[in-house]
Amino acid sequence: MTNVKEVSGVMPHSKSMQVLDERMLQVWRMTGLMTGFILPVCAILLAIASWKWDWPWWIPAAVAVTGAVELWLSVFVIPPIVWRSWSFDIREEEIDLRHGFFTVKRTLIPMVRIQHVDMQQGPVMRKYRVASITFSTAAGVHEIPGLDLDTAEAVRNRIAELARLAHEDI
Amino acid sequence: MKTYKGTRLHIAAALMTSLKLVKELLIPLLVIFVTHGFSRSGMDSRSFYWRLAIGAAVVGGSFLWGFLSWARFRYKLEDGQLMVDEGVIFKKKLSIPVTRIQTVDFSEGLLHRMLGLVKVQIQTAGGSKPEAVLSAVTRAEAARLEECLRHKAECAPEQNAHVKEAAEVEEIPAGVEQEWNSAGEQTADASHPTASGPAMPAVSGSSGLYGASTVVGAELSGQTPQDVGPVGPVPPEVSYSLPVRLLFLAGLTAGNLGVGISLLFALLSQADDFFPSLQIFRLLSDFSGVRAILVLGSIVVFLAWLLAVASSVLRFAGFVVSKRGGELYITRGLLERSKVTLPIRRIQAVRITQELVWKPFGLGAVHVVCAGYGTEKGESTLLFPLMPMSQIGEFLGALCPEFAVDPDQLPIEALPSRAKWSYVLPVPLTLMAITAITSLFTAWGLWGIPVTAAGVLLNWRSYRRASIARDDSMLVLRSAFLTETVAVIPRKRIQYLSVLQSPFQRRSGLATMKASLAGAGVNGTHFRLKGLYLTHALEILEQSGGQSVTQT
Repeated sequence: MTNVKEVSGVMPHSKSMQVLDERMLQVWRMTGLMTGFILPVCAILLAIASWKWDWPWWIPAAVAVTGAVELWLSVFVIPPIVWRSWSFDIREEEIDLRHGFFTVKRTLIPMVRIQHVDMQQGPVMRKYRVASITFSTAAGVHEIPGLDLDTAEAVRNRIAELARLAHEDI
Repeated sequence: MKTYKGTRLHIAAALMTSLKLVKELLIPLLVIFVTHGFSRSGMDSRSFYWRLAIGAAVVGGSFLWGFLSWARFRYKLEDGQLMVDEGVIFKKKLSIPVTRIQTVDFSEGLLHRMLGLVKVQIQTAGGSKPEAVLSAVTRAEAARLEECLRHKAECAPEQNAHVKEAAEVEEIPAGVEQEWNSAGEQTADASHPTASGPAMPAVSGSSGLYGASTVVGAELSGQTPQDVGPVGPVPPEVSYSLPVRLLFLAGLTAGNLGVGISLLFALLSQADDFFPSLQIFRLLSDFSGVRAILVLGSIVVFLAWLLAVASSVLRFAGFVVSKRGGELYITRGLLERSKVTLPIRRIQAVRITQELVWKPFGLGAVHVVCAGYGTEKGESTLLFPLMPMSQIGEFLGALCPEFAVDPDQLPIEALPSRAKWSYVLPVPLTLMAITAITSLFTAWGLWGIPVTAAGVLLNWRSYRRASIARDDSMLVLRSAFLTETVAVIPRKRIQYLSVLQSPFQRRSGLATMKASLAGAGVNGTHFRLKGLYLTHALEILEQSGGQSVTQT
């Protein structure tokens, strides 16, 4: 198979791909909203300061604009992009992950390599009844960031079960 | 049964702990002494005595601490468990089942060598730092421990250990001992066919650490040593040692300049501490003019290089790697000797590196990627510092056959020619931009032109040398920048594979492949190869799933 001329190609999604839970969009928007408030608050404080001590007006203005852009990005732009970039597939013998917007990354993790599975839920995620699944191998940790709580539990148990079946010592 | 409290370390361990503490406290102490002591108003006698008292208290406290931690430290081997009791303020009890012990490493510092002692480090599979450290035991005791822990051979309680509690030792019920014996012999049989039969004497003269060092004279040909005197119960099957001429070549080239520079600066700053009136750094900064800087710079680099050479010659002197049973033993060092055990089945991949300067001589170094190893860079993961490239195949075949591939025999795929842009363009373009911008302000910016040219050349070479070879059981990735690296990765050792595609690669249908292996630390070791056809990368990815599951 040396030097076969290959057609150009884009990384395909996995064959029987699954997507993240749609509520993850809300979760990311919510967290974006919460962290996105830091800069506007700074801008207000700076505005007060510049009104009081005659600082140049463009400082709070710049911060306000940056804050607005950041808020817009983290609430409206980024969540759907990240959501769309994610897909995964949990098969009998391996887990197939595909994610990334600029650099698309596809990772295949054989079940035998999985050492343990964890389910995690932040406060916002709890509100929306979603959870993330992380699974560790001897060479690092992977995450599926947002699944319906029941699905997540099922997936966790399934991975744990499959990993147990396929387990071997390193 | 009376509680058998265990063995203490050699008393020198107390001294070593104390000295280590004093060494760590040396800089704060010096600060106390030097800051106000010598600088302004000379020495006020009262404050001088105060400082002396503080110094004495610190040193005395260190020695007391050293003694106490020695006194509280006890270890014992019982019921197939290594138990360690330690801690002056917080007590810590540790027990490791002998079967869980993965490696037992030995090292001797200068003080150890003068007193005939050995430091023993015991590791299990998890974690990156040793689970138990016996900082000083006699050589005989080290040999006994090696027999017991490493070879899981029969273990009589210590017979001629330096500190013993013979009366208590003998009260271990015979039944327990018996049971343990049979278990021990079973494991010994499994791992070392030659070790079967009657129990080995607990302390068998020059076994263990010295078993390996007796074959230092063996040539770099890999023959089984014929007559190497009284080696241990399991003589090494194969043994390779670093010949002297290669030792110096390795020292000349493998010396890490960065290490040298930091050593040099450490020395200089120490000198400044000891002789504040010299004010070396002031002296240095007083020099002005480009020429002086150049001269000084080259002196610094030269001294650093000398130091680096000296330190790596000392480190690599007497380098021997030998194979016994399922393990590799690496012994090395002139002033400070160390012996590291590598269980062969924990080796995940082999990395063959070739520095630019080694190329004309056809020499290369062999490293291993080992699960849970390599916390100290380039030390325990170095399998051999320098050997002819042509012999590496044979060397690996003798030591770890799983990795013995001849990369030329595998179907090699060079990278597609459209991959060259991703190799050659990015760095030189960046350099060019920097050159252009700095040239606007200063003529020095023109130096960017040769740097950019060098960047183009190096990246071109890196594109030319990058390749992948694969068959059903093996991936061999070759990449090069200044150092050329060949990674020999058995597919069944791969933890997971990734294929990455950047926006630029998307247009040309190329991709980057990343193989992740269990290595040092929790994040493992990763090998990347940029510029494969996406379809090939995905093919390798798909194969990595089900196939590696059924293997092993």
